[in-house]
Amino acid sequence: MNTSNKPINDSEEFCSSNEWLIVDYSAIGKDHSKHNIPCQDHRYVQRINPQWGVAVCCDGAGSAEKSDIGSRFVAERTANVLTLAVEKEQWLIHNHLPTQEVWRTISRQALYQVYSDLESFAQINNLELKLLASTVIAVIYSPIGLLVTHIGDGRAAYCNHTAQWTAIITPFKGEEANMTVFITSSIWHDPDKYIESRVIDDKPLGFTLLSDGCENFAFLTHVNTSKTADQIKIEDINLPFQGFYHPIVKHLKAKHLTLSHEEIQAEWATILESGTEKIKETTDDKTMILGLWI
Amino acid sequence: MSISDFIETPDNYEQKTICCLVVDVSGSMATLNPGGSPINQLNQGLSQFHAEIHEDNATANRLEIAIVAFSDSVEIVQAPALVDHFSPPVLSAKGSTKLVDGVRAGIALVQARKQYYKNTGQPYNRPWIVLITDGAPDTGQDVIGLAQEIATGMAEKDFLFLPIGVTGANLQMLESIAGSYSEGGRTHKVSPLPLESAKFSEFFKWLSASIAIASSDENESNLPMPTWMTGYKN
Repeated sequence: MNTSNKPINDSEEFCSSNEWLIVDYSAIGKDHSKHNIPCQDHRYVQRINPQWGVAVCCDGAGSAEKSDIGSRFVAERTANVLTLAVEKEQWLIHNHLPTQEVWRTISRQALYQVYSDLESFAQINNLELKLLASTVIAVIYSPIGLLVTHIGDGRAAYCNHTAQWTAIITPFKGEEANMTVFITSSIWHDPDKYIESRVIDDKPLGFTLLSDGCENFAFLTHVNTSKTADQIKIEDINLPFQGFYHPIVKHLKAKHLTLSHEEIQAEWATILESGTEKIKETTDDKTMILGLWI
Repeated sequence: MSISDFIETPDNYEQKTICCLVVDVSGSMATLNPGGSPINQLNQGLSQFHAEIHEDNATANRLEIAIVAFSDSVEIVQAPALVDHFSPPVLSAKGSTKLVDGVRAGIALVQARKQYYKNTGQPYNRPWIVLITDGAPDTGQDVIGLAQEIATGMAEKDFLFLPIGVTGANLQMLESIAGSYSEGGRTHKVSPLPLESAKFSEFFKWLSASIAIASSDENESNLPMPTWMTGYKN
């Protein structure tokens, strides 16, 4: 079993530009492709300047007929609303991040704004709101730390100065493996339960946001910890897989020296489409945003 | 060497879906039809179903199959197992139709399996119970009580119940026990799906494709259309 997850200390290589290299891609899952179902994931990256910006990853509910439209709307609108928050709160101008308490309040207000706008969009287009159900993971990235918030499942992580990738959200899971909540769910009466917001007050060398379609190849999520071969005891864990991220980080940073951004994006697309047999055989849609400080 | 040669992926323990086939092996399933007897068609279909799941690596690691056969009595022909861990059975038909007892045994089996998943920390998706019958329950079988149990189980998302009526089945009775499920804020009534015995092969092809979707990260609303249904027009 490939469950070893040791960090590899190669983080300081190629860091000289003092800006973020961000790659993002959504690949349609094998089953969606086979049955002509559109990609229900969307992502959006809003660069405020080379050092600051907003990245958003959304996964439309498989059960909701128009969730591809919902996830696109939520991704774009969340990026816009959080970009306005960065400007309004003057975090970039003063080069500082809010406290945990302030960020929790602001991120909830922002997501509620997105929910309200989605409700209006549904009304204008004569659509039932639940048909637009989508998860959302958003990060405001900067050179001094990260502000992350999310509703639903998927994963997010950051890389610190020791090259250790660490999870920064806990996916919301129901009793069954494919159950979660969406921005359209009845969650607004109890945001403490359903909306997670965190300040990562540490200089990041990388960050990643991914839809749950990617978690089986990019994260350790379920490991059999039983000591005996004939028994099963599964532990639910949440660890970015170092053996996945390190070679990719090294590869993209090296390519950055010789390739255009479009060419690096194309490399990233190839990795997410068919980087390994396991990635290629993934049945669900796959969206991943990877930010690297270079 | 390409980047692919350097990327490692973890071995996560796969989430599980249990599909319990509750099959009628009463005497009427041995009736000779132009395309062969339903029991032979069923056996061929089961074999094909097994082969198709085996071919799909992701589903083969996630989908556990159980088979409950009923006639005069009820027999668990196959306890829950991944397809790589058993060979498709060859069923023979005789006797009467203890359908209610058979379905109840299927419900008990999936509930016990769910408890096992919970106790061992295994992530799982909603179980499927697929009833395949060509007749009607024996006199005295508690159809009303079964209908209530299925309605409750479906409402509480304990399982998805899918009744398949092979030619000659009492579709009205199947309709009465079929239940409904909620997904994406909507309630969907399940209707019994009529099946000509000659189309068992097509049915099991649909079932393997549908369960492959349901056992990944999707749900019933994305299932392919059941083109094997009697009267279906593409």
